[in-house]
Parts: sequence; C-alpha cells; structure tokens
Amino acid sequence: MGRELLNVHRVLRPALITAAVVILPAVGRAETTRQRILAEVTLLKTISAVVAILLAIAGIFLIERLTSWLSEKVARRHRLLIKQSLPFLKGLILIVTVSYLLEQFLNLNQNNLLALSGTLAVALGFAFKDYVSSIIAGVVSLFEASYRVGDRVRVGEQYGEVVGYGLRSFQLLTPDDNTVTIPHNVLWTDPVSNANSGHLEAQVTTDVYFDHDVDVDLVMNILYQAAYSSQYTQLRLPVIVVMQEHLWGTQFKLRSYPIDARDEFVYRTDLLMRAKRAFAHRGLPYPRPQLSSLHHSEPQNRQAEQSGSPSS
Amino acid sequence: MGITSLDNLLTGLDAWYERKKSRLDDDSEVLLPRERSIALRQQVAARDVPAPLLSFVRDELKEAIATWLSDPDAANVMVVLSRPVEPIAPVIEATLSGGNGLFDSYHTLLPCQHRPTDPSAIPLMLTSALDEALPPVADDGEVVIQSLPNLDQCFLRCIDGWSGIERLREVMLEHRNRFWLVGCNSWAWRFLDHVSQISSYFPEARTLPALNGAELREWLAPVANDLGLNQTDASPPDHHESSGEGANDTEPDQWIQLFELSCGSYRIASELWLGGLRLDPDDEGGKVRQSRPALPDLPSLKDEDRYLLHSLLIHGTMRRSHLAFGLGLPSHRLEPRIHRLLAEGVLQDSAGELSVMPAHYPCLVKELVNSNHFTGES
Repeated sequence: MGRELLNVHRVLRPALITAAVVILPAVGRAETTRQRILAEVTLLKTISAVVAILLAIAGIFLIERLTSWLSEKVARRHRLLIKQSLPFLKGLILIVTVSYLLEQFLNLNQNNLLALSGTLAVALGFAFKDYVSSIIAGVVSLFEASYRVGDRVRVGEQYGEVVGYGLRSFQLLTPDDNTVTIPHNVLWTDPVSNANSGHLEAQVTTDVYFDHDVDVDLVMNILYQAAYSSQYTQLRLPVIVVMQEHLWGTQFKLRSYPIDARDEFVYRTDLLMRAKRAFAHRGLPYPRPQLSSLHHSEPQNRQAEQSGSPSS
Repeated sequence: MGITSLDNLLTGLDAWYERKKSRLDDDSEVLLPRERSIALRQQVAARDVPAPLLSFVRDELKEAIATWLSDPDAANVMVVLSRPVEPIAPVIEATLSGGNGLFDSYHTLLPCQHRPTDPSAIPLMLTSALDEALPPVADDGEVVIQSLPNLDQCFLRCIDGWSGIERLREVMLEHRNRFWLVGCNSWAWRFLDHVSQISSYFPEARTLPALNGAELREWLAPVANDLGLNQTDASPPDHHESSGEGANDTEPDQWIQLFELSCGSYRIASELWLGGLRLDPDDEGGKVRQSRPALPDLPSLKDEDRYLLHSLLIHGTMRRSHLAFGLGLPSHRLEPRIHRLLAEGVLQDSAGELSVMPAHYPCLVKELVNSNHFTGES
C-alpha cells in the first residue's frame, strides 16, 4: 500500500509541479486584475452609493408624477411637450446615477473597460439578451420618435395613448381604460402605427354606408357640414370625404381632425349623430339587408383592389 | 416658438403681477353698492358709439364707394369686423344714420338683431329676406346702401346652419347696382371663411381700430364727470405717494394701462374701468375713487367649458336652446355648465341671450389659443 502511494506520488509530482508553475501565476494575475478593476470599497462609498440609488428612484418617481400632473394642468398645446420630456429626464437621471456608481467602484481605464465590456457582453448575451434588446430599442425609439409619450399608437392588436416610457417597455392606455405594457424591442419586428406623431391632432375616419341609389352629392355635403359644424373639429386642417363602391352598397369615409386627439371617440360619435340626424331627415337609403351576404366577398374584393383591378 | 412661449410667459407674469398689485392697492377700499354699479353699467351702455370708430367706418365706406363707382369691377361690398364682445350693429347703424352725403339712401336687410327662436328657422331668416324683392335702384347713378349690421346672427354652427350666408354671397355678387355694408364679429367671419371660404369672394374685411388711452378717456369722460372723478381722483393716493409724482403725471399712465389691458376695445375698457371704481373710505358722502384697472382672473375651465365659450364667441350672443342645438348636446347636460360660468362671471345673460363678459375676453382668447382653438384675433 505504502509502496503504491509512493509510486503515485512519484508519478504525480512532476505534474503537480507543472500545474503549480502554470496555475499559481494565473491566479495571481487574476487577483491583480480584479484589484485593478475594482476600486477600494469603503463604508462611505457604500453609503453614498445607496443614497445615490435611493435619490435616483425618488427622482424618477417624482419626475413621473410631476410630468403627469403638470401636463394635464398646462395649456393643451404644451401638454405633449411636457409628456415627451419624461423619457429624456428619466434617462438623464439613470445616466448620472450609473456614471456616479461606476466612478465610485471601478477603476475605468482603457484596459479595464475592454475587460469589463467583454465580460458584460458574455453575461448579457446569454442571460439578459431580450432585456438589453429592449433597452437599446427604447433608446433608438427616443431618437427615431417612433412613439412618444402622449402619442396615439397601434402596436399589433393594441391601440391607445402612450402614457409611460420606461427603460424596458412603454405603457399604452387603451380606450377601455386598460394599461398595456409593451417591450420596446417590438420596434425591431412589429410595425408601429402612430396617429399623431407628437401633434395634438390625429385624423379620425368616420365610415357611413348607403345603398347604391343614394344621392352621393347630398351625402357628401352632409358629411362635410357635419365635420364643419362639430365643435371638436380642427378647422385649420383639411376635411375630406372619399367614397368606395362595394357589391352591397356605397361606403363614404369622412376624414377629419379633432382639436385634441384624445377626443377621437367622442368626436366620431358627434359626427355620426349629426350626420345620421340629417340622413334620417332626408330619408336617405341605407344598404339593403338582403345584400348583406355579399359582405363575405369583401376579402376577395380587397385583394382585387390591391392588385389594381377595379373594385366594382 | 421658444421666444413666443417666453413672451407669453412674461406677459402672463406681468398681468398676474399687476392684478395682485391692484388687489393690494384696493384692499382698503370698498366696492360700489350693487345698485349703483348696475346704474353705472347702464349709463355706460347707453353711451353713443365712440366717435373714432364712426369716423373710421365712414372714411372706409367713402373710399370703398368711390372705388366702386369709378371701377365697374371693384367690389360692391364692405365688411366691417369687431370683437364678439363689441357689438358691431350700433356702429353700422350710427354710420348709416349719420352718413349724409356719402350715399343717397340705405336699407337694412334684417333689422332684427337676434336669431329666431326655432334653430331650424335661422338659415331661412336670411334666405327668405333675400328672396323678397330688394328695393329698386334708379339708373341715374343713385348710390343705395344695402346693410346687414349683424351677419353673425344669421347663421348657426349646425348642418345647413350657414346656407343663408352662401345665398347672401350669391345675391351680393348678383346685385352689383347697390353697395353692401356688412357688419360681423371677427370670430364668426373666421369660421365662415373656414367653412365656405367667404373672404375669397369679398375684399379684405376692415377691423374696427383700437381706441388709445386718450380716446377711451374722452369716451368715458361724461360718466366720470358725473361721478365727480377728475384727474386728481383718478389715481389711487398710494400710487402718487409711492411714485412721488404729481397726479397729472400718473393719471395718463392709467389710461394707457386701460388701453393695453383692453386691447383698445371700448367695451372691455369700460368694464375694466367700472370694475376699478371704489368708494372712498375717507369720504362718508359716497364719493367714488378710481383704482388701477386690472383684468379679472379667469376661473379654471374644463374642456367642455372651452367648447361652449368658443361656440358662444363665434356666434356673439346666443339663446341657450341655440347653444345646445349647435353643440349637439341635450339642454340638461349644458345647463349646469352655463350656470357655473354665469356664477363665475364669465358669462352674462341679457334677456335670455348669453354672451361672454367683456372683461374676461382678453384672458379667454389666450386660454383658447393655448387649447388649440381658432380665434378671430389676428
């Protein structure tokens, strides 16, 4: 037994010596690098870091509340300006806080930055890929202005006003008063439809349908007047009526702008009420019920229109 | 945009400072009794139209008629605009009644200055008046004026509500053998321009000029004299002492300030002037003193209030039923808001006709501009 152990020792000794010669300096080097990257951690630094983080959280909370409150108090035309400042202010607080923390705990020189970014890239690439993707998309969106706080956007099946803009996601307030959280990285893959792009007004389309025999001049005149007479209409922007033929009837689209995009639904209701009263007063014929089955042919119809062939 | 916003901010701060300063000055003084205040308002309302406005319209009319007579292609219409809180009809009527030498005769198309009770009858009012035979015009160069002193009372913002205006446009262009003098409020004109491009058919409308401080003082002088206000009394004593200047130096400043606050409108100025009257606390005989004029604070408004006030400013004066019809709202939803605005002093009710209080007009214009509404102000 003792001889066997002696033999093992004799065999392993050179290997152990070789390993010690190779590994121990590496461990020493790693220790030196860590010491170089990390600055000395003291109690004062730790307390100041905690205070900085708490201040940042409080600042972001206050800015969110303040912009939300102030934007509803100021004149309507300044509302979006204040709302749009929210992500920039939050970003500013984050940058300042992160910079302060890095400066406190890391020795940032060229070599350290390279080493650190390599480590971070590996860690983030595996663990927080989607999170980082959302953050980058959020920053890109800030400058592309695909959607801003106060805009009315459609992303996928969700439509509503952008009411929050976070690091990873933004919040939509739907017409049903639901808040939908959507990650910024949908920007890479999904189309984002923005109705007002930073303006107070957003076009509202109001559809009405009639029988083929309807007096089209009369309908168009009523629709124009409905838009001009509504108190919600922004008269400085164009009002347009377009029409489209279907197998089952004639469709009229009234395109106009409310003074405030928030009034979109109440505006459309007002337009329809005005127009329908006038239609009823003149007895204009709506599409015949027996033709409603032709409605099913609409998808083919639409495809034909898209390919350039006449719709009717 | 930044400079404009800064200007607006500074103007707002300035107005706020003046209001607060005025309040501090007036703390020791007592408001006029209600009966006396009403009597003074009636006295001011009964005053004739300021002479500078009449001479302006008269001069413009003279020039427009001369152009029309000399050039067959020249416009046969002159449109005079005023603010919604400044009735234009008395100006047109006074100009025509004192216009000897300018024309041979004049006819007023619609002497009635208010809309008919039935909203659907409003467009018909003008079309039926136009369909009646107009007074004949002799071929011997006779100058006949056809006047419509209150165009803003001839339409309502509803479907078919301005069809009468479109008919008027056609008739005016058709009857070129007479000269048309039309009065309208500037907001209504802007609205009609949006919906029927009315200004494309007629020459540029003339806006009543602003009255300067001296003209405002002259216009209010008879009422001020009745109150025993003279130059010495016209400024608060504290102001004299603090400035260390004589009464004659500070008094004109007050009229300039009145001019600036009222934008030169005699109706707004008179309201502000009346609002600045106080009882002298040192005098037991009820002597009146004039304090520094200040715009009243506009109460906080909701979006619904702004739509209501905007509609009211477009139409000048309106019945409640017309307002509800135009806004497309049932009366029971509108009434609480009207009551609130009446209680806050933003609206006034005169024999069932609602209108905006002139003293609130300058602040209201700013409020509506900031709320993305169009206004009639340039």
